[in-house]
Amino acid sequence: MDYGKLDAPLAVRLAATADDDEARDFPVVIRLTAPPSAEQLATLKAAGVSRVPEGRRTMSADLSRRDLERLSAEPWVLALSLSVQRRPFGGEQSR
Amino acid sequence: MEYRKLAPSLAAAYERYRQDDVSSLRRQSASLGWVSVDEPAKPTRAVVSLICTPGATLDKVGYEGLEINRGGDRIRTAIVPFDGLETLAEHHEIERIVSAHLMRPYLDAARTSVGLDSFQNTTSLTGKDVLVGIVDTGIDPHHPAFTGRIERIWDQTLHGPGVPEGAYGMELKGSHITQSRDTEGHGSHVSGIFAGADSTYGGVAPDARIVAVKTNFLDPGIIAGVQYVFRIGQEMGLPTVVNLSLGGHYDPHDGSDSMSQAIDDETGPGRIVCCAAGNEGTDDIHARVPVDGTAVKSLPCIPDIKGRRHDFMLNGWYATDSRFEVAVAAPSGHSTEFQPLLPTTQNPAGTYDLPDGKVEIATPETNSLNNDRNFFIMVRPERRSLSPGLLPTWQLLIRGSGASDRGTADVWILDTSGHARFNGPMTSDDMKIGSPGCASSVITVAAYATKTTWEDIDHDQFSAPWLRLHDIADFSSEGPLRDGARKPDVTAPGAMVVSSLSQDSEPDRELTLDTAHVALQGTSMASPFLAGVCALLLERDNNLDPARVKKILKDHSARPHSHAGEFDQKWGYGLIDAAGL
Repeated sequence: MDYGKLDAPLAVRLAATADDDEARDFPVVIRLTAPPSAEQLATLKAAGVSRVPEGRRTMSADLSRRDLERLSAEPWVLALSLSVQRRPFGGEQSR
Repeated sequence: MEYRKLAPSLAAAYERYRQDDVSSLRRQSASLGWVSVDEPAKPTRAVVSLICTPGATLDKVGYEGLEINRGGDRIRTAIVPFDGLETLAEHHEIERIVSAHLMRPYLDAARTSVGLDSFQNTTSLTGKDVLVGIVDTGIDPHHPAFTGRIERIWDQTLHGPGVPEGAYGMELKGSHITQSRDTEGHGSHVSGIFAGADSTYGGVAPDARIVAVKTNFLDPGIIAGVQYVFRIGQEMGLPTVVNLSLGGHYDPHDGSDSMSQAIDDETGPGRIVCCAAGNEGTDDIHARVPVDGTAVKSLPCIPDIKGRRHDFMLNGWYATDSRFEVAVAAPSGHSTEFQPLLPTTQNPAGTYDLPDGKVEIATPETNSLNNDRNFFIMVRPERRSLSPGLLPTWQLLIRGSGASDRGTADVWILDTSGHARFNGPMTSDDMKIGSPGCASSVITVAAYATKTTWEDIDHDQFSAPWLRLHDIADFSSEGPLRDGARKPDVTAPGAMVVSSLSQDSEPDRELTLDTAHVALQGTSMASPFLAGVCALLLERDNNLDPARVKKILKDHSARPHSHAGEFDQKWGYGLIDAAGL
């Protein structure tokens, strides 16, 4: 595993999750250096990335520990970030 | 009775009618068009709007005293005795029954205060032939402000095959859009400001076409939602503006995170994204910790200002020319060991069990997206404060790895409830704009108060003493970004703004003006206002890119009593003056 490509929250999740190499326990955002070539696309699909929007460098998937290890080793994968929850910025009263 | 077809206010009224609660009905009768409440000889009746299936005839709907206006197609008006509501609700051609409401003869203050009416009266721009995208809690497809203009809804919360951008959720078109509901109401309100067609509280781009993404608020859902809207815009051949009234603080606050980068990838000529700055202007969620050699700095962290037990996280960033070590001390005084930077060949996360709870610390050598250093800490408190009445306070401890390691660590505290805070002198009011508001191509919007008093549905008067009329809202999050980049970009009306009320939501009654409108505040409201302005600019010139749009906006914005072009970390380049655009 190239931990240099994993963000810190993903590293924490990896450390806290049981060692099942095949369980798809890791929802991640994948950032590539460029939109994928056909060969890279095949690698992504093999790793469980089911939808790769055409021409895009950013995609997401629920990956296993083994998939993370495979993709982090690819030079064309720039970063793997844990999917996190955002929230809307309005509606509440500031009282 | 099919209660699901009744708008909440009408369902509640029907129940009160069944319980013979005449006093409550009388109180609301003036605003909701209920008649004969006090006349025993006549049945109590309601003036309602009927939302029908396309081509509905309603020929066989019959009930004594029921009068249905035969004009209109999908939306009909009717006067119905309360006893006849059940007959209407069970009719297969009627999808929804909504109380009528009284219109008020004034425009909302937000539009007039920034010269929008003047601009639109002069230019006749309405957002025609522009696509607007909302990635939010959904949209009320029944709301008359959006009738006939919603092209598609991608509801990521429904079970389905998804879309090319994401293999989850359901894409809805045509009459199927009614399968999606906005139970939170946030997205409908945002959509109303952006593009609502409403004679009383009109949106900024009322002729724009609409695509709504009801998102799951996870990073992948939001990114895919933005990609989806721009693809639809491309397929329709329309310039497109996307609004994002959402965000968080998991990122480095410099626009280098994957979501910000993905959104930057999407923008370009005729492709604009607006984003809320955030509402943490008065919240102590950011601290600047000056580190000088091996001296330990201690930053107090309160998991929940209301004293409840919550997990919280610490997200710290600093320049790569220093090496810091971090530890966490629990309220009991027990502490983890200091964890140094760990090489990329091993997992940089360590786990520590303390009597007060579990602590997980990650200290990777570097971050591949911006080459800065990051530490991330998850704290899971397992028991309440040992001292009743005192808030349990944890401490983040930071020191340099060696005597020459100096610098400033910017740290954000975050949790799912939004109640975690720092304490002490290292808290800092700046740098509270996180992703995606920190994306460089995004137009990031601060909030301004144009309304501080209002009358609710019961004709009770309310005020917002925490706001100053015609001033920036204190809750609006400050910039700049951690790398010094200037954010927010501009300021727009964001408190209190009256807009569309989703019939499937349950807002505070005191914020509800009538059955179709609610007043809300937040940079969530300022962002779609500005996004609407962008839609008008794209209608005029569909090739404008983010840089040109920003220049136009900045040239027509200023703080009160200041000149255009002056940046302020709270206001950005100031309040938009649409009249001269």
